[in-house]
Amino acid sequence: MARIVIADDSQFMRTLLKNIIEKAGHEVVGEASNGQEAVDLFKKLNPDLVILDIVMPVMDGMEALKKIIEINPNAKVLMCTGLGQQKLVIQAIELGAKGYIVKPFQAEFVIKEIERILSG
Amino acid sequence: MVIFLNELDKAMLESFIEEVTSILERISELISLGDIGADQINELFRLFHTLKGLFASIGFEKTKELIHKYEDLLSDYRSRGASLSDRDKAQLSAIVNLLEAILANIDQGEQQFLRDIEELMLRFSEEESKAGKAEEKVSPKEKGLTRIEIRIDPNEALIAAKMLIILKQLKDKGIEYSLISPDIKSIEDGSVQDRSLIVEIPSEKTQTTIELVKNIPGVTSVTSIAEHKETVKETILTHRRAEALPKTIRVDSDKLDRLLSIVENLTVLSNRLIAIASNTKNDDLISVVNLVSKAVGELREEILSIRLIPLSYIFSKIPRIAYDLANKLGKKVEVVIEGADVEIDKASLEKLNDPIIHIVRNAIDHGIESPDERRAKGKPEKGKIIVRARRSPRGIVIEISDDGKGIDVEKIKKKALERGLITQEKLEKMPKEELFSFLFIPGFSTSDKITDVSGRGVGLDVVKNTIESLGGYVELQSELDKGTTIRMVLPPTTLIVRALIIKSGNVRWAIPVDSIISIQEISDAQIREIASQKVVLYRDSFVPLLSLSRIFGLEDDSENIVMICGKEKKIALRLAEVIRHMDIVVKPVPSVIRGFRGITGVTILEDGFVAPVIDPEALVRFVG
Repeated sequence: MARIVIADDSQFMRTLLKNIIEKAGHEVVGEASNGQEAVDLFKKLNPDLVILDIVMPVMDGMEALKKIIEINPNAKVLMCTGLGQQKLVIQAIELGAKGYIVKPFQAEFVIKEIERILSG
Repeated sequence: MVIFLNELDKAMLESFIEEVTSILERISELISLGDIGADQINELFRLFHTLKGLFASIGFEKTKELIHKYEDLLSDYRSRGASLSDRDKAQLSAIVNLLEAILANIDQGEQQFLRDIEELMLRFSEEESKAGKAEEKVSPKEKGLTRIEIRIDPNEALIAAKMLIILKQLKDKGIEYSLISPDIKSIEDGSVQDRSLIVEIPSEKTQTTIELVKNIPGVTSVTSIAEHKETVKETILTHRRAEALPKTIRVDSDKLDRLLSIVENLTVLSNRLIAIASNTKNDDLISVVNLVSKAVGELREEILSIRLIPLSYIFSKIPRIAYDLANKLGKKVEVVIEGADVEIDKASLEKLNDPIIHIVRNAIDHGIESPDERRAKGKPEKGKIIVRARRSPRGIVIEISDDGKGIDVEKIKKKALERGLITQEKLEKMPKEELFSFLFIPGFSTSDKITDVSGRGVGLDVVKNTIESLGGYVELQSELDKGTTIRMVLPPTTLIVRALIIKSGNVRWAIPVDSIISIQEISDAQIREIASQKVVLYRDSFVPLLSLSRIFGLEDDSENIVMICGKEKKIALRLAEVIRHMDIVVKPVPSVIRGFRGITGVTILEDGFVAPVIDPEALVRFVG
């Protein structure tokens, strides 16, 4: 069972994601509604995986990703993206994100990607 | 197995040419980066490896040997982790030049190039005997490679990101791969269309790789293609398979022109529609009209973009041509390219090729001094050539600068007097910029004397004619011992620009908002006169005051409204009325009013009247 932090400014998306994650037997240890909170939670909780939405207020997912990688270059970060954000996703991967999931979520894919990253 | 040329069918040959061309283009790009370090050498090595296989597969043995030789050299660099020396860079340029020539005459075989190949081979042996290297060399990793094809789910939304993840996964697990298809650039910029990824990995890692990749969500199949041997028949075959469904279609450019003119009409009509709709105060109508206008705008952008080709088609060749020429002349140069991504209409691009190459060659031949001479002048040994393109309200600006010896104005004066083009008296008063215009007179500088000065005159008249035929103009700036800049300004052929519509001399004019700094009211007391030129104080400097009505000889209706405009050189325009902002379609200047440098185009206003589009900076020439 892995400890996961999720960050998305939409409560609905967080709940959706949380359900998928918990069904697969992992624990959501923290929820952030913006990038800054995600970075703070990362520092505080040292989770196994962080799932970051790209577009968020205060600090976006890209910025948060940079900060998290600065804190721990081996951090496992999964980006969460809508269609049409391929360029950002590519940038994120180059910055050190380990993978990505696309909205609308397909539970099977989300789990597969999470497992892949956790085992890598 | 070797496929001989006469057995290749046309489609195969095309696919061969296409692949080699794209590799050569990539190599040229790498050369243009200047310093070729470890990463670039890795990539070059891969490219040369592929090239070698390609030429071997069509039976070009000697060509293959030459490529092989350079591949060895690269492999040597790779193991040392060193940057490519200038000498080997020059050799690289020479090889690329030769391969291009071979490619252009591919149907005649390699026989006619044997001497050139021999010559380049000799350069290697010189190098080797100098360095006292051993003759025998085993090319590394020739054997034991396997190609793996990874197919991605057709429903996967972000193909490029997925491919990047796969490659990253391989890297993280320490699997050394080379990417065969698609090319890394199309992945990094997200433009990739293929849904299959082909990588070459050490054969013993095949099973591990397949297991690893299979587990990445979105991957539908992982298969090993075949053992990769010396011949690369498979490369061509895979290449063809990947291209079975063409990604591009050919369209007659006349058809695009017709489309463009239809959509331009639409743009004007929709502008008119907006004006009419906004009078009705009918919100539903207005919102629909706005949507229509937006859609028309998008349609237009798309059609324009189809016709556009990036300048990199020309720019990417420049470094190679420059290094090659400099090498021949015993000079050292560094080439900086900026704005290669600026896109330009296809027709213009074709015409620009020769002038640009010509100017670059001239700059190296006559502008840049020999390393000794440069040292004596206290300049760095390496001359610098900067080729820069940018978009501006004036259109597309392409500048080619060197930091060479510059042009000797005194010699131009002497020559102009000798040729009886001007009197001594007039000459004395002539500003420097105008003196340079003599260089554009056909035959003015073809004489040896001027060629000795700099030789820039050679063919400059041809450059000027070409650019003017595209509706643009050429400017030249030069300072003795500092260098020369030639600037080509091409009009925005058809461009949508945000403009301010103003009135002056009872005529409406459009001025691109990009070039407007401010609009203010002035009192007569603020107008001064310096050397019979009216000026106004703006911030801390005096700016020449002009009016369009006066310049174009119209009735003077100027009010005390002044618009400050221009970027490098500022002017103040006095006008009668500011009407409003709007998006305008800039069309080329009709021939009746061509020749006024201040007018860059015309636009049709929503009531059907034509307004000239003004480039304020070009008006500076009317001053003084």
